[in-house]
Amino acid sequence: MHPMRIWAYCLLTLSGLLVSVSASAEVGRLELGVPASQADLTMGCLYPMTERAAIYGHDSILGIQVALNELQARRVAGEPVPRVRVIVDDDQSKASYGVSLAKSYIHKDGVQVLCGMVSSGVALAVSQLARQEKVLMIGTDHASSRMTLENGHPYYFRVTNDTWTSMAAGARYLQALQKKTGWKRLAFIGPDYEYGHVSRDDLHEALNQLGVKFEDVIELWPRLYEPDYSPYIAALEEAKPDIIVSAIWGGDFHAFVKQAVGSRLLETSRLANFDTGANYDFLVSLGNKAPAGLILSARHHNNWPDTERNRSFVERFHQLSGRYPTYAAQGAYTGVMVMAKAFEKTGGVTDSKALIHALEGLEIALPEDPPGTFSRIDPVTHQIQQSQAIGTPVSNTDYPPAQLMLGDWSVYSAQELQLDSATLKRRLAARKPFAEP
Amino acid sequence: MNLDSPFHVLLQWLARPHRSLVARYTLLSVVVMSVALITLAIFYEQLAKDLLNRLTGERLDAQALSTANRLSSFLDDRFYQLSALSNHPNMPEFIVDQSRLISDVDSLLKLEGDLPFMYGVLFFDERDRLIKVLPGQSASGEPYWGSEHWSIAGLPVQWVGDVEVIGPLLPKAGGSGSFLIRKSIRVGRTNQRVRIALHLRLASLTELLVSAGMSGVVAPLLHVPGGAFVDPTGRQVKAPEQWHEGPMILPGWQLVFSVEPGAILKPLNDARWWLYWVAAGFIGFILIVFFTLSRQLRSRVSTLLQGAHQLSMGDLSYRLAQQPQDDEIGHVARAFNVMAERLAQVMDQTVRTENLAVLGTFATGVAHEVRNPLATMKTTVQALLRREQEPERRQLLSDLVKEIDRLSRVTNDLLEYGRPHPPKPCVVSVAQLFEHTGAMVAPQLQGRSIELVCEAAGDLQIFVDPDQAQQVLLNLCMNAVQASPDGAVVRLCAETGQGRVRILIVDQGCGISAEHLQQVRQPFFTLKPRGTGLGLSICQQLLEANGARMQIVSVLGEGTHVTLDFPAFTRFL
Repeated sequence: MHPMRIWAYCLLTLSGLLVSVSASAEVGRLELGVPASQADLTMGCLYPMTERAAIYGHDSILGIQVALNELQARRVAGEPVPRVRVIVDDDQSKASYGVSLAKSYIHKDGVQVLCGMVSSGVALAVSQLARQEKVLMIGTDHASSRMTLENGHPYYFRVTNDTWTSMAAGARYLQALQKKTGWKRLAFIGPDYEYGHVSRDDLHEALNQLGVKFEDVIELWPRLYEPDYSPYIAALEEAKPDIIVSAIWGGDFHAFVKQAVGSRLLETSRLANFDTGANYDFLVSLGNKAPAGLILSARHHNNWPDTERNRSFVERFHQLSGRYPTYAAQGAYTGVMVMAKAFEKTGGVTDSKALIHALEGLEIALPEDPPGTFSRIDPVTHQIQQSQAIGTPVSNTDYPPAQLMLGDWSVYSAQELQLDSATLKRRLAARKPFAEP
Repeated sequence: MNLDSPFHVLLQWLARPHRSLVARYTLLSVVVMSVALITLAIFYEQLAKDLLNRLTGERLDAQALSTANRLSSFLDDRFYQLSALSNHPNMPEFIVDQSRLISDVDSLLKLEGDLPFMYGVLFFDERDRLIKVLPGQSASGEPYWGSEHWSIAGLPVQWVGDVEVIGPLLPKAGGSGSFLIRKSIRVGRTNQRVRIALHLRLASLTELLVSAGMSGVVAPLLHVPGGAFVDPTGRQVKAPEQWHEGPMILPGWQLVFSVEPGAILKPLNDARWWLYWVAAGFIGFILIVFFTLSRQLRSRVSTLLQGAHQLSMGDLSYRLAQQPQDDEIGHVARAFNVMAERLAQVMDQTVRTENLAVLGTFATGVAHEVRNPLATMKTTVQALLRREQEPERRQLLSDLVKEIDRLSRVTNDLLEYGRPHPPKPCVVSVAQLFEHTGAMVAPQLQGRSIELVCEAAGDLQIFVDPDQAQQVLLNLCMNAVQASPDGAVVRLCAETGQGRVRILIVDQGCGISAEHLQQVRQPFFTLKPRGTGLGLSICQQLLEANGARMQIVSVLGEGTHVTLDFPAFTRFL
């Protein structure tokens, strides 16, 4: 590499580090990448940076920075990648804030692509706006499968696994587990908003499609950021399930497990979280001993797949922040990298129609892809198709301060986790008609 | 105490003379255990009643009021929120002109809709048709993302002033429960009859019930219009079997407490039944143990009775077999055997004493009547012998003198046996005793080549009458010499230990058969053709008088060992 390029790379890395420090120190609007005057592409992202979900916002910003650094290095190396500007703001997991900020992005900042959003509730509201405003939207963290199916539209794309993918993988895991343990009684607890309800529906749909016989003993719907899970834990104890599938995520999942450990719930039931449970910060919070029977997964793992691409991503994040990433970082990273690749495909054309066309069927190698595979954006649903790995906590001190990481993997390929054509047709039929852009 | 009381009757029943001791102990144990168990059961019942009364009494009423206040306060806040929205000055225009965003109303609605206890804000026309929905943070599915199947038709409606409380919509598979509070918006220029509703999470209301619970015994529930019961998680639950009514928080919405004493009393009840079963098991175990013990005891006592019976029949040689256990019965059996042994000894002693007394009287009489004539006869025969010249007659007279001497010895023996002299013990050197004995026996040894070997330490001493001890040793040595064949060895030795001195007279003679060995100490029993049968009897008598014992062990054809066990002399005596 040319010495000047190395210096430029280092400078960019340092700037990214400073940005990350400032990002973690305060909340509010933040601009990453090149200035507005130099930008080939401007993205406006929304993440929560307060309350229990703040870590998602902070790690997404760092993931974006890793992507921007990578693009800068490639551009310096002579590749035709765009100069990207990313604006980030705090939606506080509120739909009203998210919609207001998104409007401001579109009308005041000239944002060409909306991105981010952890809460599916916020994402649904912003997605409606994107549809009205005919602005491209790249979902990087929210997972409700309804976003790309019943409520999908041409301007919306998602670049992380959705609830269907996670629950389809979870259903296969439970099917195999049933053959071993003969479990029958299933409980579900999920946050009382879009993501929780869609997760439950997707899990049941996937189990039924696999022919798994089970008894749905209880379904519980605590609110997002529930302050006290004790009545829910008491209800679960009373229902005596064999398996509890939880769609509670982030700090809420920490709080739930912490309270559950104080009861006798996990002595008799196995707790599974197939979509977000293996988030790095949760594994850290477990210390050196996990409650018995945890079954976890997430949309990205620091120690799986064991590929150069994944190790490089995790290491760059660590160099930038001094800590290891939660799964949100890889989603945000993917959002930027996908748009850069689409930009390359269009040859620098940034109008929505061209970008949509480029994104449909786009294939890209990402840290989450196992060896020999790549991620692909489905041209019909606009949902990225990726593998999913489910495991259980095992002792692993390679990613301190975590003392446990996932192991005993069960890996499900992107192909086997796709919706069957009948279900896809049925769910797409619920879409509201929309004139092609 | 009333003599007819059940307790007294029980005691009398237990004390019936024919009832065995074991049976009495068994019955008493069972009765005591049963009484303790019944008392415990009565106390438990009382305790359980008190506990239940405490849990469902005044304290519950106070909690009910407190919880109802929390729920009412939550609803009051929502009513106030609804009024603020419905009375907003720009609300009528916001409804009429949906293409133009009335920024302050829109912002307010979105902010209110994002509150965590709301799914969203809904607008209805006068026919209850949805005309606008504003999803909030918790919105999911219908009516926010499609409303084809969503309707409030048929839901219960309660009026609180000018506010309608609609619902609840109870949770279905995959969905959560909710209810609406609805109010007409203020009349504007267009005078449209539009109503605004807050779509609220049912669980946000029911979660406020949580702190009213009591250890799983009393569970707070919300009794809602339509008759359903909802728990703190917002789920519909089965109607409780028992409930305690609390205050109404809205018309048709009542706080109730499901009272399930089993939740806390069940473990106690289970424990009580376990206690009963264990106690019954113990009683059964005790009965089995007592029955078994009783059988064993009867069997073992019967052997004691058999022994006593044999003894009473005069069989003083009867002894009980050694008991298998070293317990009380074993001790009694050993004591019985000791008693029988001593009784036999006493009887022997008594019989012998009586025999001796008779014999003594007889011997004294005989001695007086025989000894003097014998002396006269001897003097006469000796005088005749001195004058007689004829050798044959001299031989006859000489034999007559010898026979008279023998009769005198027999008479003396009889006298000695019948009227023994009391011993005069003093310190006697065993070595000297052996020396004197050897000297006295020596004439008997001559001509037969019998060797008498005496072995005794020079300082060995015993505390006995010296003449009587000498007589015993002489007698026994003479017996040994007489029993020994020519050329044999007779050993006379002494040894000490444990405060005793044992003198052994060992010969290699003809020995004594086991049958005769039982009788050799009896007076007048003799195996010698010319013996009196009093030698060993006199020895036995003299030894007992000196606190010594004699043991005779003999093997026919091999020889006899006689052991004399004397008390040793110590300087402290």
